[in-house]
Parts: sequence; C-alpha cells; structure tokens
Amino acid sequence: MNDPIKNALRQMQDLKRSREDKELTWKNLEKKMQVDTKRHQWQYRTAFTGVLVMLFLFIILLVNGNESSKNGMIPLKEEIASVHYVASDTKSQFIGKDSRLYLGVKKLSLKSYRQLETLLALHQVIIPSESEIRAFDNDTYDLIITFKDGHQQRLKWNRYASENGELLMLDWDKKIYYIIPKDIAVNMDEEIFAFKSDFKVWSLWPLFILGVMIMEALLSFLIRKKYRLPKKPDLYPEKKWMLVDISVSMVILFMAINLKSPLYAGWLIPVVIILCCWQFWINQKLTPHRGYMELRLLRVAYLLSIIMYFIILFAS
Amino acid sequence: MLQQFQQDYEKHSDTIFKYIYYLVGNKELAEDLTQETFFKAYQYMHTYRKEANIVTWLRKIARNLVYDHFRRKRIFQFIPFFQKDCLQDEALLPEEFLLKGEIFLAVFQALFKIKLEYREAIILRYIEELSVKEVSDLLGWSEAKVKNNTTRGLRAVRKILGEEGICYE
Repeated sequence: MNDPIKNALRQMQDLKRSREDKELTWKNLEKKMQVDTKRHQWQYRTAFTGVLVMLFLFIILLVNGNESSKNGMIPLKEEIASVHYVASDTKSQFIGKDSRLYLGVKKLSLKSYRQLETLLALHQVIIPSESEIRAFDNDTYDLIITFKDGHQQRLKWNRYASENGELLMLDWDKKIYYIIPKDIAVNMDEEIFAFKSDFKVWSLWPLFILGVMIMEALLSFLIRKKYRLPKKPDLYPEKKWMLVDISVSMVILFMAINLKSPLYAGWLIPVVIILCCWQFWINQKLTPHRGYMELRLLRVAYLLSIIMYFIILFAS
Repeated sequence: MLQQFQQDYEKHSDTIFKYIYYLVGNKELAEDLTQETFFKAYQYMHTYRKEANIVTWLRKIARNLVYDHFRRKRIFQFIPFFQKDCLQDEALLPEEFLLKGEIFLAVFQALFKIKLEYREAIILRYIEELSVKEVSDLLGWSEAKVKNNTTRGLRAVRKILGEEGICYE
C-alpha cells in the first residue's frame, strides 16, 4: 500500500475527460452511425418495397380472377381456364365457393375438364318438381369452372340424381337443372371417374422451391460464416427460432408440393404477408452490420422467388 | 436501441477512454479510439451476450482497436516517407497531473516506456483496480500470466526510475 509506484498508479484514476470532448465524440459517433445505417437501409427498403409490390400484384391477380358474372349462362364455346371440384355431402350448400381460396378444392386436369366440356354440351334443361329435388342424393361434387375471361360458373354435380343413372347438374347461381341422359351419362360417368388418377398433377415446379430453399440455407450459412454472425439474432430463445424455422419450411414445402391440386391460396397469402412482416420486424431489430445487410437482401430475394413462383403457377 | 446505446455511452465511455488513454498515451487518439470502440459496439451489438458485463465487452473491443493501431504504426515505421514524429505517441502529461510531483511524473512517463503487455496488466490491476481473475478473463491470459506480467511490469517501471535516478523508496 505504501509503495509509491502503486500510489502513483492509483492517482492516475483521476484522469479527467472534458465534457465537451465527450459530447463531441458522441456527436461524431451519432453521425457515423446514421450514415452507416442510412447507407445500408435504403437498399433494404427498396428491395423490401419490391417484394411488397410483387405481393400486391399477386393479390390483385387473384382478386381480378375471382370476378364472376354469376348469372351468366355456361359459355361452353369459350375456353375453360380451369375446373376445380370439391366433394360435398349436401345439396343445400355450395361449399366449393371460390375455387382458389379454400382448402381442399382440387383442380381437374386439362384432359378431365375437356371431357366435362363435352359432357356439358350434351345437357338438357329440366325443371324438376319439389318432390323430385328432395329425392336427389346428397352425394355431390361442387364444381367451379373458371373461364379465360375470368368469370366463374358454379355447378353442383349430382351423380346419383335419380335411380335411372342420369347425371344431374345444377347451375348454382341460376338454379337451373341440366340433365344428362342415361345412355350418355353412364359412359361419361365412368370416363370422368377414370380421370381421378389425373387429379394429382405432379410437376417439377416444387423442385424449384426446394432448390431456392437449399440455396437460401447455403448462402445464409456462408454469410454467417464469413462475418462470424451468430446463428440467430438474440431476439428469441433458440428453441422458438427452431420452431419458427421448421414451421416456415414445412409450410412452404407443403404449399409447393400441393399447389397444383389442392389449392392453398386462401391461407397462402396471409402466410406470405406474415412472413414479410416477420422479416421486417426482425430486420428492424438488427444492427446495421454488413453481414446482416447481406442476409436481409438474401431474405428479400428468397421471398421474391417464392412470390414469383406462385405468380407463375397461377398465371399458367 | 439508439437511446439505450446513448445511455451506455454516457455511463461507460469515460472508463473506456481512460483505459485507451493509458494504452496509447494521447488524449486525442484516445478520443478517436473511444469513438471507434463504440461504433464497433453499435455494429456488433448482436454479438453481445447480455449475461456478460458490457464494460468487459467494450474493453475487449477497445483493446483490439489499440492493438490494430500499434500494428499499423509498426507497418508505417518501415515506410521511409512517413516522418518519425508523426508516428510517435508521446505521452503528454495531462494538465490535471501537473502538480502531482516528481515521482508521479516519472511513473507516468515510465509507464509508456515498458512493453505493452506489461503496461496492460498494470493499467488493469492498479489503475482500473480489477482482480486477477477479471484481468485474466478480459485479456484471455491465465491468472499466472497476469500475475507475472504485473510483477515484471512493476519491475520494469522501477528499473526505469532507477536509471533516471529517481528515488522512490
């Protein structure tokens, strides 16, 4: 304690730093931080705005496609864009609703709906009595036919309408019944049901999403390694991050695989919106580090690829 | 985030400044390096683990920056057109220390003449008054190395004082 050297060293604690110097350093630091933040933020904001615009266009595309002239006659001569069906066990409700927005609505293959077109061409308008209608079976299919001009036709297809084996179609909006005579109906019925195997349309498109996911994971890994970033920012406990990651990957893969047959667009849009909000929230919390900046842009590109994928699929 | 960061700056920047100052011996340079330390802290905030002491983390950043500074200086020394005066960090005695006496002045000057490793150990042990364990955690040295460097540093200071004919006993 009495060592004069140690005493002298202890006295060095009294080193003064002027208030002005301290404030000046803070001002310079603040300026530097703002410049650094702005330099990185504009790129990200621009890119993110791009994603939101794409999402908006995608929604517009869907909304426009949903416009339907409900009371129009079935314009058989016009080309059908797509036919979706959903199995229903009630004749009083049309559960198919909007073909692209409800879970479990399936899309008929091109071959199948061409057959359906032929089938519809043979229709005869009938006006069944109340008692006849009551006798109709509940086992139906709700069909939504979308024509290339965007309008949709809702048709309830009752296979076992009468014991004679005739096919009964009900224009749901106009409440007009069409009947397909027995001799044709039997054949058509078999043919249409033979197309069940066509209902599942396999395509290589999901591989694109899979490729994008793998690429994103790989690039994230490389960026994190390059800048020695932690695996996840310290915003959530590790387990919750893992849960979020697994759920998001599952949802995207599930959507990609099932997009052509059961359509999940109804909850696909909210999921993409939630993904965007979630990304934006995370990115706001992150520091403007170059590595994180690259990760953010990568995420934007990732979201953009997914949205583009959906646009291409819906447009095709 | 910025508000919290400003609070941290208000609270800890003096400590960091003092630490840097005794490593480089120049107030202006210490201010610059303090600014750089906090800028790096801001950029790398995501890597800061909350259970760790923030001052320890800031000191680590500051230390890396000081080492970078010395490394750069060493490179510049090999370049002939850099004047030697520009590269020398002469430890000017701060005004508040002018009246501290001969021994203080001699110790202050000697501190900047000893090896950086010794100086670091002395600064942290006697000026910052950290325990051996804290110094060892901060510098990544073993406790034995901290003790050794402190002892050797003090011995080196005593030797310089002796050579200069300063009577400190």
